[in-house]
Amino acid sequence: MSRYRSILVAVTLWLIWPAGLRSQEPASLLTRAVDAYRELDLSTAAGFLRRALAETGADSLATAERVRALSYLGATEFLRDNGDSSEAAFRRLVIVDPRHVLDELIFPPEITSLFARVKRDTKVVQVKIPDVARFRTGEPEYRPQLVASSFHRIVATVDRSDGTSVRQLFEGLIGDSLELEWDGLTSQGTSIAGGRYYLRVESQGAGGRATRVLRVPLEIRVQPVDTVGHPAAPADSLLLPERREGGPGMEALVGGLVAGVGVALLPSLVARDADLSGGRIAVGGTIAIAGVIGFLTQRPGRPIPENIEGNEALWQAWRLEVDRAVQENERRRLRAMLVVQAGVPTAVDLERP
Amino acid sequence: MSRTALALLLVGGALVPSGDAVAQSRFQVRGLVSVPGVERAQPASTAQLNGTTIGLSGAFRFSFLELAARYMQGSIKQSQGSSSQDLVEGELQIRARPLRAIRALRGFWVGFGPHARSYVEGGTERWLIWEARAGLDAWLLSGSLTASLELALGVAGSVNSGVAFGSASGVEGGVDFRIPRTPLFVGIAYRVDQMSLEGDSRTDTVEHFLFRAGFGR
Repeated sequence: MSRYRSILVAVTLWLIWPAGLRSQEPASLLTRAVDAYRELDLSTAAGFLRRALAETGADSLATAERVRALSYLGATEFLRDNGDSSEAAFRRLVIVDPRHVLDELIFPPEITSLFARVKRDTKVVQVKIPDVARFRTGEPEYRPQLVASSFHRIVATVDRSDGTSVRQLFEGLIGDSLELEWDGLTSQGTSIAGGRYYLRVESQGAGGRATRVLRVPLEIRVQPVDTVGHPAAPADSLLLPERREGGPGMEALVGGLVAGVGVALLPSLVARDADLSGGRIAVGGTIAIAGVIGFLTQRPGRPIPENIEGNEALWQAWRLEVDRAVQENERRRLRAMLVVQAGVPTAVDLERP
Repeated sequence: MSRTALALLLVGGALVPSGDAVAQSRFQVRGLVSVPGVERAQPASTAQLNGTTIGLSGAFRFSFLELAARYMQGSIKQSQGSSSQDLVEGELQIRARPLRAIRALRGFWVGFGPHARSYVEGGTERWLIWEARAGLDAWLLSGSLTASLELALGVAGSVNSGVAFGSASGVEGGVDFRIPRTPLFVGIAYRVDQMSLEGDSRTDTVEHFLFRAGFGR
């Protein structure tokens, strides 16, 4: 019985206990830190703020709360004469929100001035990009938004997984913000193949020195397009023989000799005892000589220029058709629909300012 | 088997269409100029007559069949200056190319038909011979030069002189040149045929040197 009574008391106490004391939630810690800051209990405020910012996972601060926490942490450390810590907190703040401005009604001018200086010296770019974008290749419809902490030089590219550049989207100075444009084409003007790519934004310091690189993974899918088939090569039946076959030459030789010899000799057989003229010999000889000439001009293996020319015209016409199909397919591929899925950006600071 | 029956058998067999005979028509018309020489041999004497004849020939081919006709007319006379006589010849032949599917033999043809010859000098002496013919055409130069040779054998005949027909045979060969890119052609030919009365009581041998020009496809 006493066991059940103990459980009942424990549950009752848990229910009526103040929520703020029941757990050390980051949001609660932030509230208590702000209260402590206002009461100038700076060490307590700093402790709560660091604990709130240290939370990760599902209990971590939302972006707006993180910005608020870092603002107070920078101010707290400044007031505690921890200049480096103050600048570090403000630098983190700039990375989280490059366009953030400290509220001058809350923070004194010394603090806002420090934050402004840190912001100016911290060259950070943040990218705003749709999770999924669809656009047709060739149309500059993919438009990531860049937001910069301060005026500096950047280079924006679309890279392959191995780091090689596919297309440079921008190189130059960025002030407050910038809208990139990409049409889905490579630097060579060809359509991009599907796969994993990265949107890479490199912030540069003095002398073009890279200070920070932001990478956004892009999973690109190319939706297939209907292409036209290549025309079939000319059929063998359409091609003329380019060299003389044996047939015509042999026909000329045999036909000419048979007809010539026949005209010369057969009359004396069919017209027995007749006194025939010698003219038949001339006609028969003419036919036989023509047959020999015909054989020599059409002998096997001899090129046939008109057929070669005709075949070349056929091949040329076919090549033209193939070229047209290739161009049409390339044109269609250049108009293919792209689906770009953006991942979580990651950044690498190459050097501290 | 008689010569007539053999000739009819040959022509009848030739008329059976070949497997790939396709409907394809061609025609040719030719103008002919000939210098004929006629040797008329009789047991007691031999006479030689010469002259000039002109004429026309035509042929229409449909698939493997061909209908050919020729008509020539002119005058001949003995060289010693006797009076001249007219020489008139006409032929009609139906021909077939039974082996046109075989490339090497596509130019071979056989035919059959009447061949009439008349000598007109006061009266008319008419010879009518039924001839079987076989011939060969060959291209010497593709599309431009052809040669031809044909043999004729008389299988039956009659003469209106009251003497029975004896025999007939002949040979003709020539060459034709087709003018490029035109349907026109010109050629020369030699022809000889010999017709005899029964018992060789008279034998006429007629030679023609032909110049021919025509058109057709």
